[in-house]
Amino acid sequence: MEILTAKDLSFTYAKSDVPALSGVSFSVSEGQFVTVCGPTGGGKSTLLRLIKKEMTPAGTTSGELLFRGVPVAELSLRQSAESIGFVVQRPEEQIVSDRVGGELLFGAQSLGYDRERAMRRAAEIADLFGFTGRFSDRTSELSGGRKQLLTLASTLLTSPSLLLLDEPTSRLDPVASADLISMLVRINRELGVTVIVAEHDTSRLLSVSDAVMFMEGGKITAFGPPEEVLSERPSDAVLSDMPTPVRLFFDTGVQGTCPLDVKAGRRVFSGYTESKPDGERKSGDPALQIEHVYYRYDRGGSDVLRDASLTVNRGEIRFIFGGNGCGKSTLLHCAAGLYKPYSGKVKLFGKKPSEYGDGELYGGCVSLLCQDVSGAFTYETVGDQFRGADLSGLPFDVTPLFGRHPYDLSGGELQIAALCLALLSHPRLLLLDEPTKGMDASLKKKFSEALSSLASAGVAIVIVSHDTELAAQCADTCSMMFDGGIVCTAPTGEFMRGNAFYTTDVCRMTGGGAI
Amino acid sequence: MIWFDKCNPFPVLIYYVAVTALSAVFNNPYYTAVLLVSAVAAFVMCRGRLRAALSFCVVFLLTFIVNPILSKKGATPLLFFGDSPVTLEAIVYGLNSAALITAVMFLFYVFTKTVDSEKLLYLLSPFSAAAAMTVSAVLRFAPLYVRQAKVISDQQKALGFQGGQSIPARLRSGARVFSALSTWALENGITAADSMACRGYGTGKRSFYSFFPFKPSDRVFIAAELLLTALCAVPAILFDCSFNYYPNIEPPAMSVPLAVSFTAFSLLSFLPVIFEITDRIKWKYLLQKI
Repeated sequence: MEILTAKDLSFTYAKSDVPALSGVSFSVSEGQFVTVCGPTGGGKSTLLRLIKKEMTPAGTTSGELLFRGVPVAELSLRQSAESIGFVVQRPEEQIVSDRVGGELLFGAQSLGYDRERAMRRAAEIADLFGFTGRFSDRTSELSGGRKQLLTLASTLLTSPSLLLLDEPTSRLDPVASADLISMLVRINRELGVTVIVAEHDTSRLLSVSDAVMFMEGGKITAFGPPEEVLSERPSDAVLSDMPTPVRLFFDTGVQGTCPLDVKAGRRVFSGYTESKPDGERKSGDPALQIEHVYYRYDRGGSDVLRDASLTVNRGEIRFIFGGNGCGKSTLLHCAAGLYKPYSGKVKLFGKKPSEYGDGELYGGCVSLLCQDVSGAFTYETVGDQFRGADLSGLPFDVTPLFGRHPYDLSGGELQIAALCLALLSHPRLLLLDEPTKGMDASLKKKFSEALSSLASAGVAIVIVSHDTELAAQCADTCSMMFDGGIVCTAPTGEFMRGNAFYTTDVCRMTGGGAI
Repeated sequence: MIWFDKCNPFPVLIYYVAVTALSAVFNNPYYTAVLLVSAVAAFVMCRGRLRAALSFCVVFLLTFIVNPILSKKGATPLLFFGDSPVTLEAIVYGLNSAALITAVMFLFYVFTKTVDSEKLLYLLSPFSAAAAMTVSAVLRFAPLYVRQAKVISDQQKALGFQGGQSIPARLRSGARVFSALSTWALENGITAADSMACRGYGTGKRSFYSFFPFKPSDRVFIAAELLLTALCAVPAILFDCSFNYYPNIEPPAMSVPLAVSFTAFSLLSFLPVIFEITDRIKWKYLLQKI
């Protein structure tokens, strides 16, 4: 039975002449798992927001959109709230209550459920998600991944039959997004909830989906089971959202059926090799020296950095990998002189941060982009932020973004604009914290090329990331961080082949034949 | 004060309201003394910090000194500051008010240690589920705001946007951080509002459930409080038990109603301490049986 049917659905935003959706028709059956992908601005978000009437933006709609045979616009707010769940990309901002219990019960309380009905459901959901005994925890103390799980759990409390997720993993690291997706699969398989996910990174979604939908320019270009849809090469824009096995399959032109995940890819690519230099340590003068650094946030707390040592030379691109909370971001803050270690030394080009004069340190020596780059923008438009700056040396053309508000940029655009801001002072050492969040594969490629050309101009670059694909493209060396210290450093090729988890999908599939 | 901590917040609130209101109305040094001793006992039992206690003592001394110096009422001058007399009555009155204020401070310290935001919400919920939700949202938002301010100012500094160390430059960059923070807060508010609407906020009457059951011991506590409050207040309303400070100190005449009232007040003030001690003994006994 169809849970959702669209017939010739079109939508035009109130202040626009170009339709965001034009003539979209599809149907989703009860209990399906659907992944929607395609380039930014392709209409994924608009489609999801039309299905959930509370989120529908201002504009004109034509055509039909039926939820279980009833036009979505005619559902009561209560029906819509109860039977259609909606989760957006920012876990931080969706949470309303200060305690886990209050947040979990939010939907049930809004709909006026009595205590017994709500608590019975809460008990089940809390057990499923691992929030048992955590009801009085503060929501502000949860990690990003747990926050997103809490939002999902809270949405499920009213037993919706359709769950819509708009880029739910774009702000999460790979470990947390894997957790979220495996939870979605469980919800779909065990509770029978129909799931529609719009996402850029489909590496874990494709093989678990019953159907994929490609959207480009407000139209559906393909819709069906993934094997069927991928029987021929999709457009480049869609292909760049596809997981590595799919991209490698179409790029190498191997015969057979397209592998959807690493497991299937192993069969196809087991003998595949590709010669590529391993990367090596650049022998320039040291740009950043961190020697036996210890740091903690307050005197009574535990050490976040413990005997951390690191040397990065001029012209070197260094990636630092490691789990959440192992001290990666703190290390970058110390390297930038924002945090002062209580023991050990930090030297930038042979001098301590405190030895640099006023405006000297951040005016040409070092630049840091933090994890949340929205903090870099303090003006109403991107253009105001760049006013009076010399744009000639920048690796990207940011002028098309000038008229827009920083909060209206997509994740990838925001990162690009922030990188350009960081380069305005022509730093000799660039520190980046998770710079590729929200980027698709084609943008990532341009990004890595930009980094490589900076490095060949002698800039030292240190990147904290989970993105092994990016490291394989541009890093000279990689380090592993664990429990507040650097545990190993090796040239990129050697590093990837030696790891089982922090390595690229290509390396996993080929058993080290290529990275 | 484990017992007080585990107690349902309603009887706890009633306790604080009852003892502070009664001792303020009576304004009687004997009552005040009892309250002060019970508050200090509770403070010790909840392992209050010595530094807090010392600062309360300073407050006691300051408030005690102010009244005799400023007040010229009273019939018994003890000494003179220049032309102005310092009277015995003013000293006693000052002592009483200082003790009362100090006792309330000790009690408030115990209150903040045993009543957290979650309990406050619970106390608010019978009056308005929406108000309770608003308080919860504010409690969540405040620390978030502080953290984001730090994120923005760190990022601005690390990109070299913070100008120099001069005061006008620092003011300018501070204003920029504040403006960015406001934009962020508005954005955040819109996402939060969307997320609330998605989960059915405003579709009907909101329900509220708490995680604080009414235990039998809570019922005993409430009953004891209400009974003792009545025993303390009623005799004092029916018979004149007021303590006069001016012009001469006149304690109320000793009578049966006054004795009942005073005893009830003393028991009421020490109720949490009594319950805490019996609870400790009970647990020791229970543990021995295990």
